[in-house]
Amino acid sequence: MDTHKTVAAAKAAKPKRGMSLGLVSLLFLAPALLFYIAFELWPIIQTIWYSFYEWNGIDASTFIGVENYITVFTDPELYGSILHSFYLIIFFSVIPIVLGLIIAVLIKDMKSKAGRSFAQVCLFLPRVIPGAAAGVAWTWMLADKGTANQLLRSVGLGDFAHVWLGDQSTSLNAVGVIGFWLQLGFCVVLLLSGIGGIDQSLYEAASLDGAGWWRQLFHITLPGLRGQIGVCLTMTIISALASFDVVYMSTQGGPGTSTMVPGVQVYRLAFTQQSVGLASALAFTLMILVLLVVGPLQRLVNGKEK
Amino acid sequence: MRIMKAVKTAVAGLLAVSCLTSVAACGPGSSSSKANVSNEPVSTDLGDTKYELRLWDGAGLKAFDDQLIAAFQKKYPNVTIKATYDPDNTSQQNGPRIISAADTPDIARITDINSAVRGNHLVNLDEYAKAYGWDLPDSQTQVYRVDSSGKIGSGSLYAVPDGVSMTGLYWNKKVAKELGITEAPATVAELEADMKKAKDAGKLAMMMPAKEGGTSYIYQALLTNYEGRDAVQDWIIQKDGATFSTDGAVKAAQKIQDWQKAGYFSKDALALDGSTALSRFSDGQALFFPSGSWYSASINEALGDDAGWIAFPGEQADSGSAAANAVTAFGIPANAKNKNAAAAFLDFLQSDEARQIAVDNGYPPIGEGDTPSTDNQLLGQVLTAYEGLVETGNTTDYINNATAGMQASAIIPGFQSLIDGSMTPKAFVESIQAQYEKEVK
Repeated sequence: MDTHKTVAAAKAAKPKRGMSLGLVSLLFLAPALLFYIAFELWPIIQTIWYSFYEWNGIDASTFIGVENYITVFTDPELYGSILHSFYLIIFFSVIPIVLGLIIAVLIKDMKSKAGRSFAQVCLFLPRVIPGAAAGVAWTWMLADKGTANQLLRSVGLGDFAHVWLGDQSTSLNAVGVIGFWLQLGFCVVLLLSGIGGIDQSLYEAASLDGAGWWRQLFHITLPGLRGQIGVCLTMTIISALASFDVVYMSTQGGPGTSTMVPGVQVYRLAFTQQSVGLASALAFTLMILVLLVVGPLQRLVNGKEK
Repeated sequence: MRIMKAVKTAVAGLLAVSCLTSVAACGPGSSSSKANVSNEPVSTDLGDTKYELRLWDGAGLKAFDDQLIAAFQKKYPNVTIKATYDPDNTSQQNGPRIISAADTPDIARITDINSAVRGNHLVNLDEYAKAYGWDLPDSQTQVYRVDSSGKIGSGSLYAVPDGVSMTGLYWNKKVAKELGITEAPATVAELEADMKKAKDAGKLAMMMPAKEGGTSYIYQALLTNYEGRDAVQDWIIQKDGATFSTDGAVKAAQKIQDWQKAGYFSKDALALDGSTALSRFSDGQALFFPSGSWYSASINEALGDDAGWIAFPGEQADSGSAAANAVTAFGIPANAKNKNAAAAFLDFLQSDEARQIAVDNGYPPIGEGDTPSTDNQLLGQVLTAYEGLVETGNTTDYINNATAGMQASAIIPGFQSLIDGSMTPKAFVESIQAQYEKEVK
């Protein structure tokens, strides 16, 4: 056969050209790698570098060692913003995934195909809307005379009406609700596609054996969805910890500092207060925290599969 | 595996090299770009040379600037000015970068005089002031003067304002009449009495947009009443030893909190932004609206003769005060290519023609000449109030501008916490001073 010859020839020719397979592969990788280095790695390296300086972004800077990091962990405003973003995980991650799971199973059980697609589209719609636009729209809905309070008043619960975003005791939760609304559709669609991949005969067999809805959920659906849940968790936790658009548009971190998150704080420090070094330190701290949370999570989800 | 190894080595190498060069050489930003600095001798004569200037400002001022530019170009046919604008809410962030860029505009809005002068990014205007014979009142230029040690308040001039933007108290005369109030309050005590009347009649006493820091205007007036104009101004311009932690500051904060407790502000004050407050006040929903001259055109249009304006009342009659500063303070960046032509524009800003354009756009003019005429009765009241204040000198810059991060990091969250009671007046005052100390070096 000819192919044997060509392979042999190629093998023979390789050392002549003096290029190892690794080097050739690297050459093919180079364009993408260069972009990755220029637009991903290099900015990260720069951020780390800046974080050791006191710098206004323009003029000469002074090296101050880890002082910026000390500030990040001792200034209640700065570490407070990190705590807020962890609190938001409940709304951005936990609730959307739990509810998303239930909704996905309910949609799966729907008889009408049209109804199924309709429900999917409706639930996915928020995901299509940019976070900034959602932030503005929800600001109106959560205002004193907004939709939320109108609903409460119309059913005689006017006493519970609140200026949701204008009260330090409710503002972070209100921001969380916006995040929940944005993330739910994503989780539902992803989980639905996962459910589609589970062998239907498993459900039939389970029904025959007398397993109810809840048992099927915990013993077939959940284990079958481990991968999808992992992706949901990863994406939503990152969007909670690195949230910016929703908070910036709806509250800008207020009232007081009750909804301040690291994303907004970094922006404010770097561009309004011109403390680029401190902003970099907070940004890098946030990046490490995200990796610390998401990394083990990946292990947990993927590791079990193996 | 070999690929991975190769990639790893490459990345590690890159990291190592970059770390070495960065740490060993110098910190970020120390190599300044002074390539374009041209040192033309100061001259007021532009001759027939064709100049093409670039001007940078906030987008909200486009109409005003375009009229100024058109009038200027008529006077100097050999000069054309091309203007670029940034959205108002980002010009503060972009300003320091724009004036320090290598291809900086010739005339630029100065957003932070502190860092601009300390970084040597601005042309010292003293020689132009002498050559042209500029003569602006101190109260209008004080914050654009910086001495050789980098302190604001005296020394060389670095920017020229194009008009004045000032705070004051709008009042709705129709609402007042319904409440049996015929005169604008002349003292804080009268203001409080009027607010009580409004509250008792079920009318909103004071429109208070605290979402974006709108509380600071009336607070600053109270502060000026208690601590005096100089103490407030010294703090704003960062004079040595100036502090916000004073009894007057606490007392003023207490007053704001008392007014909140008395129900003089709307329930959603903390979520109320400036433009919503404007539309509600224009709709006749409140008696008073502490704000600034920048809204005079829209309020005049909405309320007509029912719209009133006064300087913030003092403790005694005729001791009103206001925060006032430039609509835009224009300076000439050090990297600008046509400094003489740019200076001619700054000179033009002080002409009667430019002063009329300022008024036509709703701003009190700079300088001390006759007040230009206006059809807007409300603006007429603003101008009269400002004329009085220029005479008494009872104006300060805005406390919001004391440092670059003051507004966003201290004033907005501070007043919100003060109003909802999560901060005591004393804690509020300390939080403002703490932010100040973080930034003032």
